[in-house]
Amino acid sequence: MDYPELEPLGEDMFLNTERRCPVVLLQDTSSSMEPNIGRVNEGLQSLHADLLLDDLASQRVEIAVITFGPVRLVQDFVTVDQWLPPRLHASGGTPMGEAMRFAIQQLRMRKRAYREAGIAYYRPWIWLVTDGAPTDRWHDSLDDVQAEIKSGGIEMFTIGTDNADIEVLRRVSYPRPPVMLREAKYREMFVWLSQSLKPVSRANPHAALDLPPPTTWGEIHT
Amino acid sequence: MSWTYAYAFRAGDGKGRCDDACVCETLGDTLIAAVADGAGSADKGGVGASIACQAFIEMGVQIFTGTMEPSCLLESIRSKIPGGEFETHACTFVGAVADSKGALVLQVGDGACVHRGAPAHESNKSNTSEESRYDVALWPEETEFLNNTFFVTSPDAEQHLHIRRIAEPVAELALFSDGLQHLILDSKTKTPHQPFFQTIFRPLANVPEHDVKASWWLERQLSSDHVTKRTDDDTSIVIARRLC
Repeated sequence: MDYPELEPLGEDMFLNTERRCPVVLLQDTSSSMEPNIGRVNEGLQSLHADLLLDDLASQRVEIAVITFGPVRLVQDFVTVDQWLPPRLHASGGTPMGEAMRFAIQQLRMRKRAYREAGIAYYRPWIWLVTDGAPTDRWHDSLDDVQAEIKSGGIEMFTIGTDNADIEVLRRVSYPRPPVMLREAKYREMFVWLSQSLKPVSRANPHAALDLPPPTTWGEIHT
Repeated sequence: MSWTYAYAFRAGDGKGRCDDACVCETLGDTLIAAVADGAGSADKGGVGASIACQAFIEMGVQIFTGTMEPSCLLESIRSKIPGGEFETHACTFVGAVADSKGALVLQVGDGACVHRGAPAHESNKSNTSEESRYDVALWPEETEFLNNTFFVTSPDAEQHLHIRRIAEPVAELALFSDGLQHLILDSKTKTPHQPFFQTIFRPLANVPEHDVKASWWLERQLSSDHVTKRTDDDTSIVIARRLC
């Protein structure tokens, strides 16, 4: 039963809604990462490939890649469908404090750009991976990160490998505990990240963040 | 009868149930309409949404006439929530009451009410019904991130209760939840997307009171590709038109 005399609504009667879910990959590329940097690069390819399988996620998730050290914006925010994963190289120290501050600055700039363009966005994610202890003054940045977390401004994840200082990571991402990566399972880790981002990027407003345990690639250090 | 109206709601794709609720009734010359959107994070958000709509049907007219404070609605909603489980019943709310002289809109969280003024000969304005634009009664209170809003069920709901009294006759009004909001309210200009509203009231032309066929047509529009490819959230809408 319908109104035969009434035509259905047309395409132009609706707005196209743009939404973004910004994600910063904050990746340690200090010289000690050398043995594993190939696996990190493969992992980035897996992240890209897996997100591409999801139309909505590949248009909504925006990836920025920041490496340390030295601190460098290797890839500015770009939607996954436009992203070409970089090939990272290992060198230098572990200026984690500077990297965290830089990541927050980049996110602030990105959010301003969204607002100016009238694009709605989800809470940003920072995904920090490190294999060592910070080699710079990281305490000031810790306060910045913690202030963002407390005000609900970011979702902060820390992942440690090898000789990562788990106590530092615990303080950085508090109250979310750090995860220790098992056996350099970078590919599994990035696939998990992709699988976790997919529901977030299509989440209806007011949905709670509900993440699976990282059993395939790491152990949560509570 | 003074009003004709229709409403529809639809569960988002991949969801078994719709956690939006909507109601519309007339009482003499007065129209009472509401939509509520159960939170995705709340198990019983849909139940909360129905409770909120029902409470408004019971109290809306008294709030409109000024014999009851708007805050009484919030108390009533909370008192009806089983076991005082406000968080598991969290929902947003938009309600409107209108008669031949004006309207009142109440809102907590997202969703919105869009309205258009009366034709020229009634309101003594120079513009005609066809020319007058649709306005949003209250722009939904914004939060920075998409995942957040405010709930009518929260203990602090009164801080987020927004009220708009429209002191001139309203000819048409539409209430809708957040699922449609992003498709029909332009967040850049903070105005309704006129082509949608210029079209959506068509099934109410020349039909008396609550018309089931108009609701069916509305339901089909919510199921159309235009909507489902843009959102997989629940969608709901009430439309009403005053008969002259």
